[in-house]
Amino acid sequence: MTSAHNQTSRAKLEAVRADAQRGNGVLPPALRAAVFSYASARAMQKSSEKSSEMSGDASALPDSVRAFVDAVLARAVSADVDALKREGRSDDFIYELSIVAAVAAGSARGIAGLALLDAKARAS
Amino acid sequence: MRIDSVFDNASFGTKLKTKLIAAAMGGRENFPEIIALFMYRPAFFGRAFLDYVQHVLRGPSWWSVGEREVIAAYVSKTNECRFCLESHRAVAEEAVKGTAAEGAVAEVLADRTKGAWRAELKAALPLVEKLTRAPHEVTAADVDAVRAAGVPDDAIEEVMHVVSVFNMINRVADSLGFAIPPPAAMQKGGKRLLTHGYKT
Repeated sequence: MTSAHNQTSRAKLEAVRADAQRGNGVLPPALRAAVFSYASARAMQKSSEKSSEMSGDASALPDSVRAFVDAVLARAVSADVDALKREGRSDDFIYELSIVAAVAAGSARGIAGLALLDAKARAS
Repeated sequence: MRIDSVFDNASFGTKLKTKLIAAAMGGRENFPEIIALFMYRPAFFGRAFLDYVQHVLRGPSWWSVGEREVIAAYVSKTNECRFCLESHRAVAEEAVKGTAAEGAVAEVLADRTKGAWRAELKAALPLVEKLTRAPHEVTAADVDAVRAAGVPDDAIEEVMHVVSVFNMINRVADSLGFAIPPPAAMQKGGKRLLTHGYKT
């Protein structure tokens, strides 16, 4: 059983994830959900695996969006942002895409770690 | 910052706050752009995130504030996020002044087995690195190795939350391209974060 402090940490982590998935924004809800799902799954995949080999729904993402999310998961640079700008994407679109992908990828790591602790606690 | 809207479309109050903070920091070049990001659309990203960060890095913990800041910097180093690495290295250095670990932050970041740090922290850093670099490879054996060093499960969970926070913000920082203030400004920012924490 996790401490009260850690239970609160888990609740606060969920609040961050909820804002990224459901807060008001310019990304259409279906696209945002697809980005979050894709980034979460991709974060837990070997970097050498292709996006087509994974369980997340990569096909729901336009190619340029998928490429940008992949860049955020690895390490995005100016050229990645510039590519979306050339395509006519707004600053808020890029901002939200960055946040959603980053929150999904970061929290997926934390959640994977917590799952290991929870499995051990259940077994003992 | 690669997204102009964060500054251009900010509210009048936020623009004023940005100017005041920049003035207090000694100029626009010393202003940490991450502050503008958190003020831009806090309901989307900022308010809940900083609440989580404050709880994880400054709430009660088995780990000292300095140790948690080292873990934060270690995640950032693993992700090659220079902005977050420099920021949290500065906070860690301030946090351990007057302790056995004073002056040993750079040492442990360069080699996780080095420096005057608790053995428990050094035992946790391989898990931090693996969870950051290759989360699909982390197994119960990696957690067991930290337990074997005497770290209780609640403390390991606290580490997981630091890993979670910095794997998020490292990616935001690199994607949006925060400018890196000069070392003196980073040091000043480190002192401020140590004193005031991450509260909005």
